[in-house]
Amino acid sequence: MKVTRMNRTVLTVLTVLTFPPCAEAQVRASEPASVSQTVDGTKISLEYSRPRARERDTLFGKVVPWEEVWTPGANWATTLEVSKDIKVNGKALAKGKYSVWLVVKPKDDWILVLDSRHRRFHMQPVDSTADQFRLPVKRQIGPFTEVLTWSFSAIRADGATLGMQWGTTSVPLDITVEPSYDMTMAPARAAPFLGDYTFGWSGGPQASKPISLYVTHENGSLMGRWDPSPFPEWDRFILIPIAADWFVPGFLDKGKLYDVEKSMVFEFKTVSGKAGEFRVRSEDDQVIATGKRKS
Amino acid sequence: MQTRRHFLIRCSAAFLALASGARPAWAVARRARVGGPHPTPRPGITAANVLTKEQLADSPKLIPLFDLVREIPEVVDGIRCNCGCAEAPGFYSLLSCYEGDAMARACPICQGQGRLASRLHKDGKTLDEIRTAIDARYG
Repeated sequence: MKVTRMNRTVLTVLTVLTFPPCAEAQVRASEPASVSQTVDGTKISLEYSRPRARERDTLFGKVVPWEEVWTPGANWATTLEVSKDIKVNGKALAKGKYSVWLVVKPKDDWILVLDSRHRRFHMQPVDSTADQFRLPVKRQIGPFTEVLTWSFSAIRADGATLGMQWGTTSVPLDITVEPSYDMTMAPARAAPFLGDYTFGWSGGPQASKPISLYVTHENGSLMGRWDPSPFPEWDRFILIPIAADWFVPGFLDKGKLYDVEKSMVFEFKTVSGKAGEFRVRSEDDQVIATGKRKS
Repeated sequence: MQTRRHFLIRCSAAFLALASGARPAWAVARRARVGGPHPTPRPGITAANVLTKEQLADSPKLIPLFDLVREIPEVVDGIRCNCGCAEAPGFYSLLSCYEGDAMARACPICQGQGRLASRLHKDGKTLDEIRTAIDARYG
């Protein structure tokens, strides 16, 4: 089996060197693919080739022998590129481009290996080095997937779930990105803004009754609450500081940050250490709402 | 009741420009927000190429904004536009957004950065302080 695979590899390399491939029309057993996801400004990209199960009854332990250092893909090694530092299952990974490997095991956790030598053919697995990213990962059994697939099955404000599925095997990876906003605010820093304010839109439809904005300090963050809320889905939001007296609203879903509306900036005017009024500006810097302190 | 996005879109002057068929590039530029270093203002730069009210006859609401930029070319020329147009051929600074094809006719980021630069300059802020504020809002 191994001799056959090696012969095929040599033949493939010779063929590629002799007859340069035509990218526009080339049928491949494992077609190339890519998947990319941006989370809070961090871009996470994978490029890989997609082998098919093709009715082979046992993929892991047979097509991919146990203990093999296997790239979860085909042809050239699968690559992972991240535009900023991230964490994979809680372990820090520096920004950069890596070849992706899995050490497949029959019983124990598999080992995820990320190596900065990213241009590798699949028959040339990387040797173990001290600066490699190595991490035990859980293998899960689930619904059958014919074509090897990398996908982002969940996205959060601070990360995503990246997973590989092939056959009935899947390997989920928890990705955490560096947050671009600091949502916390010390009590002394928050104090000038606390209180009740009027809130009125400068443009668009007017509310049927006056809107109040209540600014509080909860769980280390400056919070805003409209009453009545102009938007049915969001009545509470975090006021995220972006400058001394400027804030953007971070909207919550089930208590977790869901969306930051950077095109809606609250600019407070502080006099003698206390905010007395604010303006809300849209992306084109026009005033779309104003408010004044009631208490 | 309306959604938050619907309201913000309705508030945007750029939406009105888009609705009138002004600039299809706006749709790409609006959310691009590409950061980078600010340019150095060119010595002796003037506002001679900033569009005039005659050239803005089809967008009269924008005339006051272009007039604001016309007052401070040496400041606006030291600011990078974060909408993505900085990568366009011939672009040098935010001032470029108000000249020639004038991306600022339709792009809310170009417009917002111009308005913000103007009012901060009137508040006595330095170019570096204005750049810091621009980066906080649009970077």
